[in-house]
Amino acid sequence: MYNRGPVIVMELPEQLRQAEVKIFLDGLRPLLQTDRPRIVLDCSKVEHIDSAGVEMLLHCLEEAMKRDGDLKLSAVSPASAIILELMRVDRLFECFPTSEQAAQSFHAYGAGANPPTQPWYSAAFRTADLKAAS
Amino acid sequence: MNLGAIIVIANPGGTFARKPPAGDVLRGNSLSCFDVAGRSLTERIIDRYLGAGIDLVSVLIEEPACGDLSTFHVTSAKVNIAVVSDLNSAIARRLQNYSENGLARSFVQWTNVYAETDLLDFFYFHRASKLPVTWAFDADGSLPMCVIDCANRPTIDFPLAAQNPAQNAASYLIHGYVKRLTHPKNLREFAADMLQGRCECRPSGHESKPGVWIDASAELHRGARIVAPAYIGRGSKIMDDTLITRLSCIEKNCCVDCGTVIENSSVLANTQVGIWLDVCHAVVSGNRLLSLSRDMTVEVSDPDLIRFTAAASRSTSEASHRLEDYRRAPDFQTPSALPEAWQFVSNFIRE
Repeated sequence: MYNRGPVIVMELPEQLRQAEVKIFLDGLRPLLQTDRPRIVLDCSKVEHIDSAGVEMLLHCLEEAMKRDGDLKLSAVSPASAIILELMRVDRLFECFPTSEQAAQSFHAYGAGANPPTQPWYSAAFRTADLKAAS
Repeated sequence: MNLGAIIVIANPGGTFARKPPAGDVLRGNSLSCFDVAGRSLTERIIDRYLGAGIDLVSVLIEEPACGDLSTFHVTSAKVNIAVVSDLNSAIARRLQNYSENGLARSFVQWTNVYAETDLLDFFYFHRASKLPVTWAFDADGSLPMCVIDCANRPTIDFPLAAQNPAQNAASYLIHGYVKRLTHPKNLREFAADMLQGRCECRPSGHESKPGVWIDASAELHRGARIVAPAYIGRGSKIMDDTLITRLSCIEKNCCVDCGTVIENSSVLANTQVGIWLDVCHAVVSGNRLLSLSRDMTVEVSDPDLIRFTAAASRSTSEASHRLEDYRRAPDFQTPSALPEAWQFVSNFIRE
């Protein structure tokens, strides 16, 4: 485990099943109880994940969101991604190729050189068109 | 002068067959032995030959035998099934037997291809060519399917010849539907083609509403939603709040538990899919799932997600018994005397 400012990166174990989940969660729980926890779970070593593992990820996400934080995943292997898709939770997590990219994503808007200046609608639509449509 | 047919189920690891990848979702079994919308490809091929009036069909299963033979429901007296170790010599021996029993010509077909062609036209083409063998091909190349003279047959290494037809052979172009089975995704494609009416094959069972095929004794909960086209196999259970959609096939004795979505996927026989899952663009067999979008198979150790049903062990036991029966069967059985009406009325191919 290592800390990059406010973002905490933790490596998940190779086996994310019932037995391993409890041990891992015991280590993660204090971090989840901080104010606005920003956590990246590095999945690069995960070889097997089952429903207990996915439930643990959901529990961690829920705890982080309760405290106005977030939990992101990095280096998710294709096999793990298939299990997440099968259990319909893949859309709940932001996934990144590396932990660095996941950590940077917490600061993306703050560090962004070009904040969005354009209105949300396309330039192809003119105000008159929008008025006419309404 | 009558016609015979030899249908070859090659071992996936043997000659002229696909090599199964590690962690194969089908456990190295022959693709042609898996049910697709209720019937295996091998059964459908046998039906085509019987339907064309072929006098005798021999099915040769290459050792080590593979495939879920419990799916074989061939009851016709005209079909003879045997397990063989050397395909080339077995085919040659069978052709010799055909010749001795008055069958002048024979089709030889591997089950890793399904072709919808007019067999009568194929036969006449071969006869007109005056060559001892005629190989079929389509727009994508040669096919492991031929008509051969039983008596004057040349010495052929069949697996090699099917890939590179020899000089002294005619070629017959198949214009109809052809499906090669080299990857489990081909099972999905075949199921989709069948459900969309792109081939002559139809799912088994009855069409309960346009595009929705329900086989015998399938149980659908009132709250289950089946969106056409889709197929539900015999003895399968579809529980409350499930969604079966976009060309999905649930084969026999499966169970799809509450809240699960099956989309553009094939759930192969005897598979239990747990609650609240999303199976999309995949082939599932027991505890293995092949994601077609990622072209990757995962073995799921959690039985709450996917697993074999209790019917799977019965099916395996039945398959092994049946295989032993085929091994013990005599090498060649001369067809028993057939009814006069069948011989002269129903047999379409006859010189």
